Amino acid sequence: MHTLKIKDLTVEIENKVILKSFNLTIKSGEIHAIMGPNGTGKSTLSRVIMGDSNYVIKKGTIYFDDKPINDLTVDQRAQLGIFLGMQMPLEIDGVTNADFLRSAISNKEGNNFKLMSFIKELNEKIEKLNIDKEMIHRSVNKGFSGGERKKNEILQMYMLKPNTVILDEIDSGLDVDSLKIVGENVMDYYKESNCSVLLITHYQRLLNYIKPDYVHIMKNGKIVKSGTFDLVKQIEDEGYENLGDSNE
Amino acid sequence: MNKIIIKKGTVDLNVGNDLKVNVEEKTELFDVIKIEITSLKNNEISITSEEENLKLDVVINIKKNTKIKFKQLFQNDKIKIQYKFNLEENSKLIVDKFYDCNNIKELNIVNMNGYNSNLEYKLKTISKEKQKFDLVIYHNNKNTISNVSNKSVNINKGSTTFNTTGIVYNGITGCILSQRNRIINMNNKKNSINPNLLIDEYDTEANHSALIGKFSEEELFYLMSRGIKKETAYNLLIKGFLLEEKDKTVEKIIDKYWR
Repeated sequence: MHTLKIKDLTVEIENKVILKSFNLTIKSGEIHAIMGPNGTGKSTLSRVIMGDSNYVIKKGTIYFDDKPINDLTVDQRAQLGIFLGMQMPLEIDGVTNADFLRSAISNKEGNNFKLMSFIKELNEKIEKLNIDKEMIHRSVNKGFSGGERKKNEILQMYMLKPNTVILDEIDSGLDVDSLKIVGENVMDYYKESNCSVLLITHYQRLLNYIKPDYVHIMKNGKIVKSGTFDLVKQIEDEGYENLGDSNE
Repeated sequence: MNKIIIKKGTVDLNVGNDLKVNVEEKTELFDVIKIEITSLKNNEISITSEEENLKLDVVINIKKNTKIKFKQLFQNDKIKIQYKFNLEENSKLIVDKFYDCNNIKELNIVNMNGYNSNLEYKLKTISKEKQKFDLVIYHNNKNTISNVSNKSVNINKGSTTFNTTGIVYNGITGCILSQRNRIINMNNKKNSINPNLLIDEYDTEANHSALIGKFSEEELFYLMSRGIKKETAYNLLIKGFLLEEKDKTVEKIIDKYWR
Protein backbone atom coordinates (compact mmCIF):
# COMPACT_ATOMS: atom_id res chain seq x y z
CA MET A 1 0.00 0.00 0.00
CA HIS A 2 1.50 3.34 -1.08
CA THR A 3 0.32 6.90 -0.71
CA LEU A 4 1.29 9.98 -2.68
CA LYS A 5 0.28 13.11 -0.84
CA ILE A 6 0.66 16.64 -2.10
CA LYS A 7 0.14 19.20 0.60
CA ASP A 8 -0.26 22.95 0.16
CA LEU A 9 2.08 23.00 -2.84
CA THR A 10 2.95 26.30 -4.49
CA VAL A 11 5.22 26.13 -7.52
CA GLU A 12 6.82 28.75 -9.72
CA ILE A 13 8.69 28.80 -12.98
CA GLU A 14 10.51 31.95 -14.07
CA ASN A 15 8.78 33.88 -11.26
CA LYS A 16 5.35 32.86 -12.48
CA VAL A 17 3.17 30.94 -10.03
CA ILE A 18 1.76 27.82 -11.69
CA LEU A 19 0.46 25.73 -8.77
CA LYS A 20 -1.20 27.52 -5.85
CA SER A 21 -1.56 25.75 -2.51
CA PHE A 22 -2.33 22.53 -4.33
CA ASN A 23 -3.60 19.53 -2.34
CA LEU A 24 -4.18 15.94 -3.43
CA THR A 25 -3.83 12.48 -1.92
CA ILE A 26 -3.69 9.31 -4.02
CA LYS A 27 -3.58 5.81 -2.55
CA SER A 28 -2.84 2.41 -4.07
CA GLY A 29 -5.80 1.03 -5.95
CA GLU A 30 -7.27 4.46 -6.67
CA ILE A 31 -7.64 6.08 -10.08
CA HIS A 32 -7.78 9.86 -10.14
CA ALA A 33 -8.40 11.97 -13.22
CA ILE A 34 -7.44 15.62 -13.37
CA MET A 35 -9.19 17.60 -16.05
CA GLY A 36 -9.14 21.26 -16.84
CA PRO A 37 -8.61 23.90 -19.47
CA ASN A 38 -5.25 24.46 -21.17
CA GLY A 39 -2.52 26.26 -19.23
CA THR A 40 -3.94 25.56 -15.82
CA GLY A 41 -0.94 23.67 -14.43
CA LYS A 42 -1.88 20.03 -15.02
CA SER A 43 1.35 19.05 -16.79
CA THR A 44 3.35 21.14 -14.33
CA LEU A 45 1.87 19.07 -11.51
CA SER A 46 3.04 15.84 -13.14
CA ARG A 47 6.57 17.16 -13.72
CA VAL A 48 6.86 18.58 -10.21
CA ILE A 49 5.88 15.23 -8.70
CA MET A 50 8.61 13.63 -10.85
CA GLY A 51 11.16 16.24 -9.69
CA ASP A 52 11.74 18.48 -12.72
CA SER A 53 14.29 21.01 -11.44
CA ASN A 54 13.01 23.74 -13.76
CA TYR A 55 10.14 24.24 -11.34
CA VAL A 56 10.72 25.88 -7.97
CA ILE A 57 8.71 24.72 -4.99
CA LYS A 58 7.99 27.87 -3.01
CA LYS A 59 5.81 26.25 -0.39
CA GLY A 60 4.39 22.88 0.54
CA THR A 61 5.51 19.27 0.48
CA ILE A 62 5.14 16.17 -1.64
CA TYR A 63 5.04 13.03 0.52
CA PHE A 64 5.49 9.45 -0.61
CA ASP A 65 4.41 7.02 2.10
CA ASP A 66 4.53 9.89 4.61
CA LYS A 67 8.15 10.77 3.76
CA PRO A 68 8.83 14.11 2.09
CA ILE A 69 10.36 13.71 -1.36
CA ASN A 70 10.89 17.38 -2.31
CA ASP A 71 14.67 16.94 -2.09
CA LEU A 72 14.90 13.65 -3.98
CA THR A 73 16.35 13.60 -7.48
CA VAL A 74 14.30 12.48 -10.46
CA ASP A 75 15.84 8.99 -10.53
CA GLN A 76 15.36 8.56 -6.77
CA ARG A 77 11.64 9.31 -7.15
CA ALA A 78 11.43 6.81 -10.01
CA GLN A 79 13.17 4.26 -7.81
CA LEU A 80 10.39 4.73 -5.23
CA GLY A 81 7.99 3.51 -7.90
CA ILE A 82 6.68 6.76 -9.36
CA PHE A 83 6.28 6.66 -13.15
CA LEU A 84 5.44 9.56 -15.45
CA GLY A 85 4.06 8.76 -18.88
CA MET A 86 4.83 11.91 -20.78
CA GLN A 87 2.67 14.04 -23.00
CA MET A 88 5.43 14.43 -25.59
CA PRO A 89 7.92 11.61 -25.11
CA LEU A 90 11.33 12.76 -26.20
CA GLU A 91 13.37 11.43 -29.09
CA ILE A 92 16.87 10.40 -28.02
CA ASP A 93 19.11 9.77 -30.99
CA GLY A 94 21.64 6.97 -30.66
CA VAL A 95 20.18 5.42 -27.49
CA THR A 96 18.24 2.29 -28.41
CA ASN A 97 15.03 1.35 -26.64
CA ALA A 98 16.65 -1.91 -25.62
CA ASP A 99 19.69 -0.23 -23.99
CA PHE A 100 17.44 2.37 -22.37
CA LEU A 101 15.11 -0.20 -20.83
CA ARG A 102 17.92 -2.55 -19.84
CA SER A 103 19.71 0.32 -18.05
CA ALA A 104 16.54 1.39 -16.29
CA ILE A 105 15.70 -2.10 -15.10
CA SER A 106 19.24 -3.09 -14.15
CA ASN A 107 19.47 0.17 -12.15
CA LYS A 108 16.32 -0.86 -10.33
CA GLU A 109 17.08 -4.54 -9.83
CA GLY A 110 20.87 -4.39 -9.40
CA ASN A 111 22.38 -7.87 -9.16
CA ASN A 112 18.93 -9.46 -9.46
CA PHE A 113 18.63 -8.34 -13.06
CA LYS A 114 18.14 -11.34 -15.34
CA LEU A 115 18.63 -10.70 -19.02
CA MET A 116 16.67 -13.70 -20.30
CA SER A 117 13.55 -12.95 -18.28
CA PHE A 118 13.87 -9.28 -19.31
CA ILE A 119 13.87 -10.26 -23.01
CA LYS A 120 10.99 -12.70 -22.52
CA GLU A 121 8.80 -10.16 -20.76
CA LEU A 122 9.72 -7.44 -23.24
CA ASN A 123 8.63 -9.61 -26.18
CA GLU A 124 5.34 -10.44 -24.46
CA LYS A 125 4.50 -6.80 -23.81
CA ILE A 126 5.55 -5.68 -27.29
CA GLU A 127 3.09 -8.18 -28.71
CA LYS A 128 0.37 -7.14 -26.28
CA LEU A 129 0.76 -3.49 -27.25
CA ASN A 130 0.89 -4.31 -30.96
CA ILE A 131 4.27 -2.61 -31.35
CA ASP A 132 6.66 -3.39 -34.22
CA LYS A 133 9.33 -5.73 -32.80
CA GLU A 134 12.09 -3.89 -34.64
CA MET A 135 11.42 -0.70 -32.67
CA ILE A 136 13.28 -2.12 -29.71
CA HIS A 137 16.54 -1.83 -31.66
CA ARG A 138 15.80 1.70 -32.86
CA SER A 139 16.69 4.93 -31.04
CA VAL A 140 14.25 5.95 -28.32
CA ASN A 141 11.17 7.41 -30.04
CA LYS A 142 13.15 8.29 -33.17
CA GLY A 143 10.88 8.29 -36.18
CA PHE A 144 7.98 7.06 -34.02
CA SER A 145 4.46 8.25 -34.73
CA GLY A 146 2.51 9.92 -31.91
CA GLY A 147 0.75 6.62 -31.23
CA GLU A 148 3.97 4.60 -31.17
CA ARG A 149 5.50 7.03 -28.69
CA LYS A 150 2.55 6.66 -26.33
CA LYS A 151 2.61 2.89 -26.63
CA ASN A 152 6.32 3.02 -25.87
CA GLU A 153 5.51 4.88 -22.65
CA ILE A 154 3.08 2.12 -21.68
CA LEU A 155 5.72 -0.50 -22.56
CA GLN A 156 8.13 1.24 -20.18
CA MET A 157 5.44 1.30 -17.50
CA TYR A 158 4.91 -2.44 -17.85
CA MET A 159 8.63 -3.17 -17.68
CA LEU A 160 9.39 -0.86 -14.75
CA LYS A 161 6.39 -2.00 -12.68
CA PRO A 162 5.72 1.28 -10.85
CA ASN A 163 3.35 1.53 -7.91
CA THR A 164 2.27 5.08 -8.79
CA VAL A 165 1.45 5.82 -12.42
CA ILE A 166 1.04 9.38 -13.66
CA LEU A 167 -0.13 9.69 -17.25
CA ASP A 168 0.04 13.16 -18.74
CA GLU A 169 -2.31 13.38 -21.71
CA ILE A 170 -1.46 9.85 -22.73
CA ASP A 171 -4.44 10.00 -25.10
CA SER A 172 -3.15 12.88 -27.22
CA GLY A 173 -2.00 11.88 -30.70
CA LEU A 174 -3.72 8.50 -30.54
CA ASP A 175 -6.10 7.15 -33.16
CA VAL A 176 -9.18 5.20 -32.04
CA ASP A 177 -7.47 1.80 -32.19
CA SER A 178 -4.32 2.95 -30.39
CA LEU A 179 -6.41 4.71 -27.74
CA LYS A 180 -8.20 1.42 -27.07
CA ILE A 181 -4.91 -0.50 -26.80
CA VAL A 182 -3.36 2.10 -24.49
CA GLY A 183 -6.47 2.43 -22.32
CA GLU A 184 -6.97 -1.32 -21.97
CA ASN A 185 -3.31 -1.94 -21.17
CA VAL A 186 -3.26 0.72 -18.48
CA MET A 187 -6.30 -0.96 -16.93
CA ASP A 188 -4.70 -4.41 -17.23
CA TYR A 189 -1.59 -3.15 -15.46
CA TYR A 190 -3.69 -1.40 -12.82
CA LYS A 191 -5.59 -4.61 -12.08
CA GLU A 192 -2.51 -6.82 -11.88
CA SER A 193 -0.42 -4.39 -9.82
CA ASN A 194 -3.00 -2.55 -7.67
CA CYS A 195 -1.05 0.64 -8.41
CA SER A 196 -2.47 4.11 -8.10
CA VAL A 197 -3.15 6.04 -11.30
CA LEU A 198 -3.24 9.79 -11.84
CA LEU A 199 -4.60 10.64 -15.29
CA ILE A 200 -4.25 14.07 -16.76
CA THR A 201 -6.55 14.53 -19.70
CA HIS A 202 -8.78 16.93 -21.58
CA TYR A 203 -11.15 14.40 -22.98
CA GLN A 204 -13.71 11.88 -21.83
CA ARG A 205 -12.69 9.40 -24.54
CA LEU A 206 -9.77 7.99 -22.50
CA LEU A 207 -12.09 7.58 -19.54
CA ASN A 208 -14.19 5.13 -21.56
CA TYR A 209 -11.34 2.69 -20.97
CA ILE A 210 -9.87 3.87 -17.68
CA LYS A 211 -12.62 4.52 -15.19
CA PRO A 212 -11.53 6.95 -12.49
CA ASP A 213 -12.72 6.70 -8.91
CA TYR A 214 -12.22 10.43 -8.49
CA VAL A 215 -12.39 13.28 -10.97
CA HIS A 216 -10.88 16.67 -10.20
CA ILE A 217 -11.27 19.90 -12.10
CA MET A 218 -8.19 22.06 -12.05
CA LYS A 219 -8.19 25.76 -12.78
CA ASN A 220 -5.52 28.37 -12.21
CA GLY A 221 -3.17 26.04 -10.42
CA LYS A 222 -5.52 24.36 -7.96
CA ILE A 223 -8.34 21.85 -7.73
CA VAL A 224 -11.63 23.72 -7.77
CA LYS A 225 -14.04 20.82 -7.81
CA SER A 226 -13.79 17.10 -7.07
CA GLY A 227 -16.31 14.38 -7.59
CA THR A 228 -16.89 10.94 -9.01
CA PHE A 229 -17.16 9.81 -12.62
CA ASP A 230 -20.45 11.74 -12.93
CA LEU A 231 -18.42 14.94 -12.99
CA VAL A 232 -17.03 13.96 -16.38
CA LYS A 233 -20.53 14.04 -17.87
CA GLN A 234 -21.11 17.43 -16.30
CA ILE A 235 -17.89 18.73 -17.91
CA GLU A 236 -18.97 17.39 -21.29
CA ASP A 237 -22.35 19.14 -20.95
CA GLU A 238 -21.32 22.43 -19.38
CA GLY A 239 -17.62 22.91 -20.20
CA TYR A 240 -15.08 24.06 -17.62
CA GLU A 241 -16.10 27.68 -17.45
CA ASN A 242 -19.07 27.29 -15.14
CA LEU A 243 -17.64 24.54 -13.01
CA GLY A 244 -15.88 25.26 -9.74
CA ASP A 245 -14.52 28.49 -8.42
CA SER A 246 -10.99 29.39 -9.42
CA ASN A 247 -10.65 31.93 -6.59
CA GLU A 248 -9.22 34.34 -9.11
CA MET B 1 42.36 -7.77 -40.20
CA ASN B 2 45.87 -6.36 -40.65
CA LYS B 3 47.18 -5.06 -37.36
CA ILE B 4 49.72 -2.34 -36.63
CA ILE B 5 50.54 -1.87 -32.96
CA ILE B 6 52.80 0.88 -31.71
CA LYS B 7 54.29 0.27 -28.29
CA LYS B 8 57.47 1.23 -26.51
CA GLY B 9 58.61 3.26 -29.49
CA THR B 10 58.48 0.36 -31.91
CA VAL B 11 55.99 -0.79 -34.50
CA ASP B 12 54.67 -4.37 -34.45
CA LEU B 13 53.28 -5.50 -37.79
CA ASN B 14 50.86 -8.32 -38.30
CA VAL B 15 49.86 -7.82 -41.91
CA GLY B 16 49.16 -9.87 -45.02
CA ASN B 17 51.19 -10.10 -48.21
CA ASP B 18 48.88 -7.83 -50.17
CA LEU B 19 49.71 -4.92 -47.89
CA LYS B 20 53.06 -3.20 -48.28
CA VAL B 21 54.16 -1.46 -45.10
CA ASN B 22 57.37 0.54 -44.72
CA VAL B 23 58.32 1.68 -41.25
CA GLU B 24 60.96 4.17 -40.23
CA GLU B 25 61.44 3.88 -36.47
CA LYS B 26 62.32 6.99 -34.53
CA THR B 27 65.96 7.85 -34.01
CA GLU B 28 67.83 9.90 -31.44
CA LEU B 29 67.74 12.86 -33.80
CA PHE B 30 64.33 12.36 -35.32
CA ASP B 31 61.64 11.24 -32.87
CA VAL B 32 58.84 10.68 -35.36
CA ILE B 33 57.71 7.21 -36.41
CA LYS B 34 56.99 7.07 -40.13
CA ILE B 35 54.69 4.46 -41.63
CA GLU B 36 53.80 4.14 -45.29
CA ILE B 37 51.08 1.67 -46.24
CA THR B 38 50.16 0.66 -49.76
CA SER B 39 47.25 -1.65 -50.26
CA LEU B 40 47.20 -3.76 -53.40
CA LYS B 41 43.80 -5.34 -52.72
CA ASN B 42 40.75 -4.71 -50.55
CA ASN B 43 41.94 -4.65 -46.97
CA GLU B 44 41.06 -3.91 -43.39
CA ILE B 45 43.76 -2.25 -41.30
CA SER B 46 43.77 -1.43 -37.62
CA ILE B 47 46.33 0.74 -35.86
CA THR B 48 46.51 1.01 -32.08
CA SER B 49 48.76 2.71 -29.58
CA GLU B 50 48.94 3.39 -25.87
CA GLU B 51 52.29 5.23 -26.03
CA GLU B 52 52.44 8.08 -23.55
CA ASN B 53 53.92 10.46 -26.09
CA LEU B 54 53.40 9.64 -29.74
CA LYS B 55 54.68 11.41 -32.84
CA LEU B 56 53.57 9.76 -36.00
CA ASP B 57 53.62 10.35 -39.72
CA VAL B 58 51.41 7.99 -41.73
CA VAL B 59 50.94 7.76 -45.50
CA ILE B 60 48.27 5.44 -46.88
CA ASN B 61 48.01 4.74 -50.61
CA ILE B 62 44.77 3.25 -51.85
CA LYS B 63 45.23 1.70 -55.26
CA LYS B 64 42.81 1.75 -58.19
CA ASN B 65 39.56 -0.22 -57.68
CA THR B 66 40.36 -1.16 -54.07
CA LYS B 67 38.60 -0.57 -50.78
CA ILE B 68 40.32 0.05 -47.45
CA LYS B 69 38.75 0.06 -44.01
CA PHE B 70 41.12 1.88 -41.70
CA LYS B 71 40.42 1.71 -37.98
CA GLN B 72 42.46 3.64 -35.44
CA LEU B 73 42.31 3.47 -31.65
CA PHE B 74 44.74 5.66 -29.73
CA GLN B 75 44.85 5.97 -25.96
CA ASN B 76 47.76 8.27 -25.24
CA ASP B 77 48.73 11.32 -23.28
CA LYS B 78 50.13 13.47 -26.07
CA ILE B 79 49.90 12.91 -29.79
CA LYS B 80 51.24 14.75 -32.78
CA ILE B 81 50.19 13.01 -35.90
CA GLN B 82 50.07 13.62 -39.60
CA TYR B 83 48.11 11.48 -42.02
CA LYS B 84 48.26 11.58 -45.78
CA PHE B 85 45.72 9.51 -47.72
CA ASN B 86 46.14 9.14 -51.49
CA LEU B 87 43.16 7.70 -53.32
CA GLU B 88 43.36 6.39 -56.87
CA GLU B 89 40.55 5.85 -59.41
CA ASN B 90 37.40 4.06 -58.14
CA SER B 91 38.95 3.49 -54.75
CA LYS B 92 37.11 3.72 -51.45
CA LEU B 93 38.53 4.64 -48.07
CA ILE B 94 36.59 4.18 -44.86
CA VAL B 95 38.28 5.81 -41.86
CA ASP B 96 37.09 5.18 -38.32
CA LYS B 97 39.24 6.89 -35.66
CA PHE B 98 38.78 6.93 -31.92
CA TYR B 99 40.93 8.92 -29.50
CA ASP B 100 40.99 8.73 -25.72
CA CYS B 101 43.83 11.19 -25.15
CA ASN B 102 44.82 14.40 -23.46
CA ASN B 103 46.63 16.57 -26.01
CA ILE B 104 46.27 16.02 -29.73
CA LYS B 105 47.48 17.87 -32.78
CA GLU B 106 46.38 16.09 -35.89
CA LEU B 107 46.72 17.03 -39.53
CA ASN B 108 45.07 15.02 -42.29
CA ILE B 109 45.63 15.58 -45.98
CA VAL B 110 43.37 13.59 -48.27
CA ASN B 111 44.22 13.59 -51.97
CA MET B 112 41.31 12.31 -53.96
CA ASN B 113 43.38 11.91 -57.09
CA GLY B 114 41.39 9.23 -58.86
CA TYR B 115 38.14 9.65 -60.76
CA ASN B 116 35.17 8.39 -58.70
CA SER B 117 37.16 7.94 -55.50
CA ASN B 118 35.18 7.91 -52.29
CA LEU B 119 35.96 8.83 -48.66
CA GLU B 120 33.89 7.97 -45.56
CA TYR B 121 35.64 9.64 -42.63
CA LYS B 122 34.57 9.33 -39.00
CA LEU B 123 36.52 10.68 -36.06
CA LYS B 124 35.44 10.40 -32.44
CA THR B 125 37.34 11.70 -29.46
CA ILE B 126 37.07 12.21 -25.73
CA SER B 127 38.99 15.41 -25.15
CA LYS B 128 40.62 15.88 -21.75
CA GLU B 129 42.96 18.74 -22.59
CA LYS B 130 43.63 20.61 -25.79
CA GLN B 131 42.85 18.86 -29.04
CA LYS B 132 43.05 20.23 -32.57
CA PHE B 133 42.14 18.38 -35.72
CA ASP B 134 42.85 19.72 -39.19
CA LEU B 135 41.44 17.88 -42.16
CA VAL B 136 42.01 19.07 -45.71
CA ILE B 137 40.41 17.16 -48.56
CA TYR B 138 41.52 17.91 -52.09
CA HIS B 139 39.00 16.79 -54.68
CA ASN B 140 41.57 16.55 -57.44
CA ASN B 141 39.44 14.54 -59.82
CA LYS B 142 35.87 14.40 -61.04
CA ASN B 143 32.99 12.58 -59.34
CA THR B 144 34.82 12.29 -56.06
CA ILE B 145 32.83 12.02 -52.84
CA SER B 146 33.87 12.94 -49.29
CA ASN B 147 31.64 12.40 -46.31
CA VAL B 148 33.09 13.61 -43.00
CA SER B 149 31.82 13.23 -39.45
CA ASN B 150 33.83 14.60 -36.52
CA LYS B 151 32.55 14.17 -32.98
CA SER B 152 34.06 15.19 -29.67
CA VAL B 153 33.03 15.03 -26.03
CA ASN B 154 34.96 17.44 -23.81
CA ILE B 155 35.57 16.51 -20.20
CA ASN B 156 37.87 17.82 -17.43
CA LYS B 157 39.95 20.59 -19.04
CA GLY B 158 39.18 19.39 -22.55
CA SER B 159 38.61 21.62 -25.52
CA THR B 160 38.36 20.80 -29.21
CA THR B 161 39.01 22.52 -32.51
CA PHE B 162 37.82 21.05 -35.78
CA ASN B 163 39.16 22.73 -38.92
CA THR B 164 37.59 20.86 -41.80
CA THR B 165 38.28 21.98 -45.33
CA GLY B 166 37.05 20.65 -48.65
CA ILE B 167 38.60 21.98 -51.87
CA VAL B 168 37.24 21.70 -55.40
CA TYR B 169 39.03 23.44 -58.26
CA ASN B 170 37.40 24.78 -61.39
CA GLY B 171 36.63 22.09 -63.93
CA ILE B 172 36.49 19.25 -61.40
CA THR B 173 32.82 18.45 -61.88
CA GLY B 174 30.41 16.10 -60.14
CA CYS B 175 31.95 16.18 -56.67
CA ILE B 176 29.95 15.74 -53.48
CA LEU B 177 31.22 17.13 -50.15
CA SER B 178 29.52 16.65 -46.83
CA GLN B 179 30.82 17.71 -43.39
CA ARG B 180 29.25 17.16 -39.99
CA ASN B 181 31.12 18.48 -36.96
CA ARG B 182 29.71 18.03 -33.46
CA ILE B 183 31.14 18.90 -30.05
CA ILE B 184 29.44 18.08 -26.75
CA ASN B 185 30.82 20.23 -23.99
CA MET B 186 30.71 18.68 -20.52
CA ASN B 187 32.66 21.68 -19.21
CA ASN B 188 32.72 25.37 -20.06
CA LYS B 189 35.86 25.45 -22.20
CA LYS B 190 36.01 27.29 -25.47
CA ASN B 191 35.70 25.22 -28.64
CA SER B 192 35.87 25.95 -32.29
CA ILE B 193 34.51 24.47 -35.49
CA ASN B 194 35.66 25.93 -38.78
CA PRO B 195 34.00 24.24 -41.72
CA ASN B 196 35.52 25.50 -44.97
CA LEU B 197 34.15 24.64 -48.37
CA LEU B 198 36.45 26.19 -50.95
CA ILE B 199 34.67 25.45 -54.19
CA ASP B 200 35.43 26.96 -57.58
CA GLU B 201 33.10 24.77 -59.64
CA TYR B 202 29.34 25.15 -60.04
CA ASP B 203 28.72 21.45 -60.63
CA THR B 204 29.32 20.51 -57.02
CA GLU B 205 27.05 19.36 -54.22
CA ALA B 206 28.22 20.54 -50.81
CA ASN B 207 26.78 20.79 -47.33
CA HIS B 208 27.99 21.15 -43.80
CA SER B 209 26.61 21.26 -40.29
CA ALA B 210 28.27 22.30 -37.05
CA LEU B 211 27.09 22.01 -33.47
CA ILE B 212 28.67 22.88 -30.14
CA GLY B 213 26.46 22.30 -27.13
CA LYS B 214 25.47 20.20 -24.17
CA PHE B 215 23.04 17.34 -23.74
CA SER B 216 19.62 18.81 -23.11
CA GLU B 217 18.07 18.89 -19.65
CA GLU B 218 14.97 17.30 -21.18
CA GLU B 219 16.95 14.25 -22.33
CA LEU B 220 18.41 13.82 -18.86
CA PHE B 221 15.00 14.27 -17.24
CA TYR B 222 13.46 11.65 -19.51
CA LEU B 223 16.15 9.06 -18.80
CA MET B 224 16.26 9.76 -15.07
CA SER B 225 12.46 9.59 -14.83
CA ARG B 226 12.90 5.88 -15.56
CA GLY B 227 15.11 5.43 -12.52
CA ILE B 228 18.40 5.80 -14.39
CA LYS B 229 21.12 7.55 -12.36
CA LYS B 230 22.60 10.73 -13.78
CA GLU B 231 26.00 9.16 -14.56
CA THR B 232 24.34 6.19 -16.28
CA ALA B 233 22.16 8.60 -18.25
CA TYR B 234 25.30 10.39 -19.46
CA ASN B 235 26.85 7.03 -20.28
CA LEU B 236 23.87 6.20 -22.50
CA LEU B 237 23.82 9.63 -24.14
CA ILE B 238 27.56 9.60 -24.84
CA LYS B 239 27.47 6.08 -26.27
CA GLY B 240 24.54 7.18 -28.39
CA PHE B 241 26.47 10.22 -29.56
CA LEU B 242 29.83 8.59 -30.24
CA LEU B 243 28.86 5.10 -31.34
CA GLU B 244 26.86 4.41 -34.44
CA GLU B 245 27.38 0.71 -34.06
CA LYS B 246 28.40 -1.60 -31.23
CA ASP B 247 32.09 -1.41 -30.34
CA LYS B 248 33.00 -3.14 -27.09
CA THR B 249 36.44 -1.52 -26.79
CA VAL B 250 35.04 1.98 -27.12
CA GLU B 251 32.14 1.12 -24.82
CA LYS B 252 34.67 0.08 -22.16
CA ILE B 253 36.47 3.41 -22.55
CA ILE B 254 33.19 5.31 -22.13
CA ASP B 255 32.32 3.16 -19.08
CA LYS B 256 35.64 4.28 -17.56
CA TYR B 257 34.39 7.88 -17.38
CA TRP B 258 30.64 7.46 -16.95
CA ARG B 259 29.37 4.42 -15.11
